[in-house]
Amino acid sequence: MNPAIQAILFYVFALGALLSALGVVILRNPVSCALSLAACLAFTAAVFFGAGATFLGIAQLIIYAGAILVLILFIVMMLNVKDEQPAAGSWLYCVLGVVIAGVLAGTLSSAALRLPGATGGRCPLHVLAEHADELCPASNGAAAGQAQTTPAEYGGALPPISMREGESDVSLLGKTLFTHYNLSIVILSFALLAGAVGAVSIGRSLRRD
Amino acid sequence: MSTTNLISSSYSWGQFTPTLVLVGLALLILIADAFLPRLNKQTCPILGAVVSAGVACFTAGSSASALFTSLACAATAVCLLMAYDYRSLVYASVAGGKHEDGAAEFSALPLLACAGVCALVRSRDLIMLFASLETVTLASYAMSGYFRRNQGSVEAGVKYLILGAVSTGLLVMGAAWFFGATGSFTGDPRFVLAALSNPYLSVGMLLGVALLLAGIFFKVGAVPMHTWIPDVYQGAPTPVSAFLAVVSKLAGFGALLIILLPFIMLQTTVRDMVHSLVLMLAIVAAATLLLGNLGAIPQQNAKRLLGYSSIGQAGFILVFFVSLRSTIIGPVFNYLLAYGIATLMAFYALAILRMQRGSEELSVFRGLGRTNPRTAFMITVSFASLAGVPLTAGFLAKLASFQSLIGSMGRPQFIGLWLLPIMIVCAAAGFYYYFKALRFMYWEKPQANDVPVVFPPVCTCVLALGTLLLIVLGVTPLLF
Repeated sequence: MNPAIQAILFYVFALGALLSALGVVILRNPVSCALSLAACLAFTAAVFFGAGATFLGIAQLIIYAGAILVLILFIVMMLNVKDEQPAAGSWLYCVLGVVIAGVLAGTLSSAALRLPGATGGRCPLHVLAEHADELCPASNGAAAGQAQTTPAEYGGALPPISMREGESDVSLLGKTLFTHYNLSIVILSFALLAGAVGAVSIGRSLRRD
Repeated sequence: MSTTNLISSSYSWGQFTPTLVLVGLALLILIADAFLPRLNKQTCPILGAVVSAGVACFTAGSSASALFTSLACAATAVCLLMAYDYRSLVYASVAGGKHEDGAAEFSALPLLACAGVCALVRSRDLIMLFASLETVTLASYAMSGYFRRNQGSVEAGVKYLILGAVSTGLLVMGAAWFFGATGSFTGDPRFVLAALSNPYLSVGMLLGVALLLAGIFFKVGAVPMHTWIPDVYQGAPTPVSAFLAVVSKLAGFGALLIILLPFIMLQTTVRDMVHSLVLMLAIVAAATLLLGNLGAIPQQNAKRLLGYSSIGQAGFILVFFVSLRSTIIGPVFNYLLAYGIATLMAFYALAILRMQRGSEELSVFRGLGRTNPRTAFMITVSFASLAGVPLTAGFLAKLASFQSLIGSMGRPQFIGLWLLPIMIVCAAAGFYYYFKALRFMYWEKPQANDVPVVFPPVCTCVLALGTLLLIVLGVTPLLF
C-alpha cells in the first residue's frame, strides 16, 4: 500500500478511536456509551490491521465488539439503566481530578513524543518499523551484552520471532501461548475458577426463610 | 530440545506444587459440597486449615519464595480456623441461619487465593505475576462481599471490586509499557538496562515501572492507593479482613520485590534512574507512614483501626525498599512475619468478641483484664508487638526498619535522613492507638451484665502459640 494512504488511514482511524473514547466518557445515555465503545474498539482494530497485526485486529473485533459489547448491552437492557446523573461533587474534587488526569496525560505524551516518528510528519507506523531493531532490547543482542549481572534464575527472553514462509501470526501466537506461556495459562484458569466460584456464591438467590 | 522442555521453557510444574495442591483441595471441597448433601460443613474449614498448614510445613525453606509460600499458607490456615470458629455467623449471614447452604465456598475461596499467592512468589515474568495476582484478587472480591445479608459486607465487596479494577488496569497498562520498552515480560536486568539507557525508551520504561508500582501499591495499601483498606476491612467478614491484612499484603510485597529486583541489581549502573525510583518510594513510604498512623488515632471501630494500622505497618516495610539492597528480602520477611502473627491474633480475638458481645467497636475489649485475664494477656502481647514494645518480635522488626534507613547512609542512592523523624513520630503514634485497646481491657470496668467471654479451644491454642512465637522471636535473636 502507498505509505501516504497508510499514513492518512492511520490518522483517520486513530482520531476516530480518540473521539469515540471521549464519547464513552461524556455521553450520558448508557446505550450511546456502549455504542461509542463499540466504535472505539472497531477503530482500534482498524489501527491494528494497519500495523499488520491481523490476528489481533480480528480478535479485537470478535471478542470485544462481538461478545463483550453484546453482554454490556444485555445488562443495560435487563437492568433498565437510566441516564447517568451528573455527580454532585465539590469543585475541589473536580480540580484534583483534572490535575491528576493532566499529570498522567502529560507523562504519557512525553513518553510517546520521545519515540522516533512522533515528530516530522511521517507515518509513525513506518518510522517505528524502521527503528524496530533499536527499540527492542530483548531481541537486540548488542545492547544486551553490556549487563554486568546475569541472574540465572530469570527464564530468559522470548526467542526472537522470525516468521517463516507460509506461517501465519495465528500459528505463531498459538505456539507462544502453548509453549512459553503454558503454565501462566494454567494459573490464569485458576483465576477464572475463583471468579466463577465467587460469582456463583454471591449471585445465588437468597432464600426467604 | 525435548518436548517437556518446550512446553514449559521457563517454569516447571514442580515449582507450582503448593498451588496445585491447594487448588485441588478447593475443587475437592466444592465437589463434595455439591454431591454430598449430608456433608457436615464444619469439616471444610478444618480440612482446608490442616492441608494448608501441611503445605506450609513441606514448603518451608530458605529461599525467598519458599519463605513467602509457607507464611502465606500458615496464615491461610489460621484464617480458616477463624472461619471455623465464626461458623454460626457465616451460616446466619449466608443462609439466614436455618441451614448451611453456601457455606463451603467460604472455605474454598481462601484456598484459591492462597494458591494464587504461592504462584505469585514464584513468578519471574509479568504474565505469571498478573495471572496469579488476579487469582488472589478475584477470590478476595468474592470473599469480602460474601455476607450478602450484611450491608457492610456488600458495600465492602463492591468498593473493593471497583477500586481493584482500577488498580488492575494500571498494572496492565504498566506491563504494556514495560513490554514496549524492553520487548520482554521478564524482569531480566539486561533488558531493563538496555531500555533504561536507550534515549527513545527510557521515559517510557520509567512510566511503565511507575504504573506497575501503582498497581502493586494498591495491594500493599500504600498511599495514594490505600483508600479501600479501612472501608473494606471494616465491612468484610472478620476472617476475610484478617486474610486481606496478612496474606494479600504479603502477596503485594512479594510482587513488589519481583518488580524491583532488576533495579536492585542495576543500582550501580544507572544511578540517576534508580535514584529517582528510590525517591518516589521514599515519598510514598513517608505518606503511607503518616496517613496510616495518624489516621488510626481517632478510630473507634477495632477493624477500622486495624485497617489503618496495616497501612502504617506497610509504611515501615516500604522503608526497607528505600534502601534498595539485595539483602532486604530477609528483613522484609521478618517484618511480615511479626506483623502477620500479631495481626492474626488481634483479628482472631476480635472475631470471637464480635460473636459473643455483638460489636466491633474498641469498647468490646472492656474489662477483659478482669473477666478473662489469660486471654487479655495474650491480646496485650499482640497489640504490644504491633506497637513495637521491646521484648516482642514487633520491636525488633521496627528496629530493623530504622537500621536499614540509617545503614544506607553514604550509599549513592541515599535520600537523606528526613524520613527518620517521620518514622519516629509514627512509631510513637502507634503506641497511642494500639494501647487504646489495652486501656479498655485493663482500665475499664466490665459492665454489670458482662459475663466472661468463652474463647473456644482452637482460638486459645492459636493465641497461645502466637504469643509464644512473638515473645520467643522478640527475646532470642533467631531471626533478627
